Amino acid sequence: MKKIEEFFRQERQRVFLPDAYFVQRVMARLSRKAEDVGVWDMVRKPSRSVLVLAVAMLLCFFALDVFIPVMPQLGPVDMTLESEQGPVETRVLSGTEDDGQEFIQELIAMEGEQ
Amino acid sequence: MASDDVPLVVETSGSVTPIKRSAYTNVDVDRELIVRAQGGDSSAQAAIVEQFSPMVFRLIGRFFRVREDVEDIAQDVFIKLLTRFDQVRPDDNFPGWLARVTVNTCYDELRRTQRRRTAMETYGPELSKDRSSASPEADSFDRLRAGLQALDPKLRIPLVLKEVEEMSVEEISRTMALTQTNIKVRLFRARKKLAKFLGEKE
Repeated sequence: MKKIEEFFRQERQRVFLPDAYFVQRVMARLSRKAEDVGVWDMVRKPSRSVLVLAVAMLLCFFALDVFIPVMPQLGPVDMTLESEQGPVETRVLSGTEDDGQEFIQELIAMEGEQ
Repeated sequence: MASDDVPLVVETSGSVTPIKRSAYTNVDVDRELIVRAQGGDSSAQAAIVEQFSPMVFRLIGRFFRVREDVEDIAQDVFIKLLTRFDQVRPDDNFPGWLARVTVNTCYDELRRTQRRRTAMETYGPELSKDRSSASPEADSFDRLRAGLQALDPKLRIPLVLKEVEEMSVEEISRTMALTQTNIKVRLFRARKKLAKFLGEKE
């Protein structure tokens, strides 16, 4: 046990001190590092994973948008017929099942205008 | 050099500032200097490096025995400090914060050293173990040193901070950002492992 205490006492006496040029070396390294700063270094470490995730998601959305074709809302037959539809037909096709008297009056009025 | 009860003395631009041993919380810090350094004033940054480099060297020297290693790690610590100065709050305990950065850097380096050593022991050449010419005392100190180096950094750091740096459990817990109970458990395990290592070698 005494040997351990003596060992730790000896360890306490072993002290390193910086030399006269240490500060200059640190400052030189710092200025060199400042010159090499890229975009990545400007982002703080805890924010980097969030940034990577956001960029990855953005790229995914972009890829989906580019490579997966948009489904047309109307089929080819509907699209052809649509151009031939008059306003009354359009109104009838887009109307609901329980359209009442008001709706019929509206159709009559539209027919009258035509 | 600082002996057991003599405080370490640091020369800072003509004035002499005493740094109490094992008391990183009681060092006077110029708040104005920190604010200026945060603003990018390189003379203030240099002054901070000059003021705190003995403390950092001293702490790193507890874990590393080669001067070049100590110097390299100290440079890393100050580069970390100066590039992340925005995280420092001038009213907080700056020396304590710096001690924590230093200990964390030492921990990372010790882990790397340990991995290298394990690789060398596994794949490297067998080293000669002839120590017949060494004195018995030097031999026992070498064994202790080897035992200390063989400890996992998680156990070694609190033990060295307690026994060599003479920090209190509270100070170690603050420096390592762990609970006091955790530090006590680690100290107990470190002592037990060291005793076991020495017992096996004898």
